[in-house]
Amino acid sequence: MQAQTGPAIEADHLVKVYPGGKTALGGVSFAVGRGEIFGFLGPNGSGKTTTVRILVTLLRATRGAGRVAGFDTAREAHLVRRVIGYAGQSVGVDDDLTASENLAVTGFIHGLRHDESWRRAAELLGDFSLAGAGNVRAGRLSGGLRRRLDLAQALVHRPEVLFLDEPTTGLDPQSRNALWHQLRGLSRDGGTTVFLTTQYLEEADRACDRVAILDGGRLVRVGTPASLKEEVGGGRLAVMLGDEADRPRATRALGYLPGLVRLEPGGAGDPVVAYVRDARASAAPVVGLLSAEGIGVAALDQAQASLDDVFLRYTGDRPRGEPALAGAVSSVFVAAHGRRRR
Amino acid sequence: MSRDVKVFVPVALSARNLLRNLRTPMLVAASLAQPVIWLVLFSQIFGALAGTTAFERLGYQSYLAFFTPGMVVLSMLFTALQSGMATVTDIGSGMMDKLLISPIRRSAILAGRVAADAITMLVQAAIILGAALLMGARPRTGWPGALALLACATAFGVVWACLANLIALRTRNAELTMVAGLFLTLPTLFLTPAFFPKPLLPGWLQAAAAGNPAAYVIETGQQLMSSGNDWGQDLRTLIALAAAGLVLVPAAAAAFRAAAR
Repeated sequence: MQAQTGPAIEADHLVKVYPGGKTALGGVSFAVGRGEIFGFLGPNGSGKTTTVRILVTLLRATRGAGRVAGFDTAREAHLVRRVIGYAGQSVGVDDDLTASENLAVTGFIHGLRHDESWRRAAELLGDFSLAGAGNVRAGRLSGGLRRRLDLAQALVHRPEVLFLDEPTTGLDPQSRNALWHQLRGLSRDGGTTVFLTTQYLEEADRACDRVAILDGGRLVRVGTPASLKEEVGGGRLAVMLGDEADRPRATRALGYLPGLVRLEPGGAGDPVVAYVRDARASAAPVVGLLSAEGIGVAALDQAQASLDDVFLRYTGDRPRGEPALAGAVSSVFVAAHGRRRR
Repeated sequence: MSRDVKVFVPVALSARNLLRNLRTPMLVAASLAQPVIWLVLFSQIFGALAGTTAFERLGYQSYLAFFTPGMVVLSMLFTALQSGMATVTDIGSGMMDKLLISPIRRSAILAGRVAADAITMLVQAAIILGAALLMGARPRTGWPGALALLACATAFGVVWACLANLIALRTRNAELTMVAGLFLTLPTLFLTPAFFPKPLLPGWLQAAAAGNPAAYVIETGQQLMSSGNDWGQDLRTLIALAAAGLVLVPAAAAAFRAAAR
């Protein structure tokens, strides 16, 4: 229905100010290519869900424009709705209908014909390991199964562009892997564009072609996971010195390390830490440089930077309000101040 | 003989809503219980009214038959409230979002909802009428009158369901919808001649009833059931229903269109 050129999704200076004056988005722009898996990362309250809801036509932007498959999300919402699939944070299944019926109804409202809807329902029950749940009312399924049903619903009509708001939250590891496998298949074989938000940086790293990091309603970084990790220093080399007296000389020598991004000399007892583009490539030169100076190395530890390091660097924080990271005291603080969890 | 046919969305949606009612029969029962209990109770309490000259002079025959339309309408009021609650539930569960991001017309969501309501309401009205018949009521105007009462009550119920959905979409809150709905339900019933013939009501109540579509439906029903058809009243009732419908149906449709903000 549309020239298959140009990006699948475009956000053009999206601004959203909620009634009451809270600015959720302060001018967000990005483009997602067709067939790309694009991960939207950010602390709680950074504007991820607001962005998704604008793009799926559930919310109007205060200023700026969103386009999906070339259609304006405000003026051509009805055309956008023909090409998208969406699974939101709340599980949108009808508890009084069976899993099959839920899927078939979704097919009907997206314009599939009668037989096609039921055929797709059966197919997706298989794909999402819901075969035993086909004739069970959704309300009687476990939380994880309802979540899977919800995700399956988003795929019934084989949408061109798929929006998933924290799709893996509430799924067990096997279901998560199965979902990623399916999303990669859709992207690779069907050319489906996938736009998703997630709190799980490791998953985004493995599965997304590109990620964007959102903080406080602003986009702070967009790129491939690899390039972002390289920016913060893709690798980390920690050198334990044999003799503390060598620290100044060692620090000077490591300044010549190829691919060096940043050097932390550390204090007594600490390792000298070199952030480098590629830990593996720089490990041998470290040993070379130090032994040329006659400096003894007690231990050398090498690690690849993770998307976590990128996230920390650009948002200056762990995901906000996450008890496991923020600690019990600050989660009490968060609760007391009523900060929204997402 | 392929079944591969285009699905008519409002039919699919109303089938979905009906399935929900069928699978939660307690909901339907809840809308029926009070009207049926009241029917039994009040027809006993006020039954003696039928023997009074004032009641007879107005042409009414039995109090039970006279009282039945009020209870049919009460059941419509409850089911309309449930329709609003179902919409709030859909909003809360994320179902509404799924409907709103699909390419269906917004009016199809409303149509699917009230079509299911209409069928539920028709069945409920028939059950209450059946209960009245079992208790010995005989419609003065026979089967045509009884069917006209069912149709009239259902039409009123659909219009009222639009009001409940309007409240649901504006508040997006289960408690508020429930409170607002209940707040409306009983006064709506009491500002009608449901219990006493209209000419016997105080002037201010008659004036209030003149602005209440439920009062028109009940009065027509009472004539069909107990005192004989009055074409003038039938016409006034149709006009009242049409007027309420012309305001509330488009307002509810607009609220569904505005639901994706």
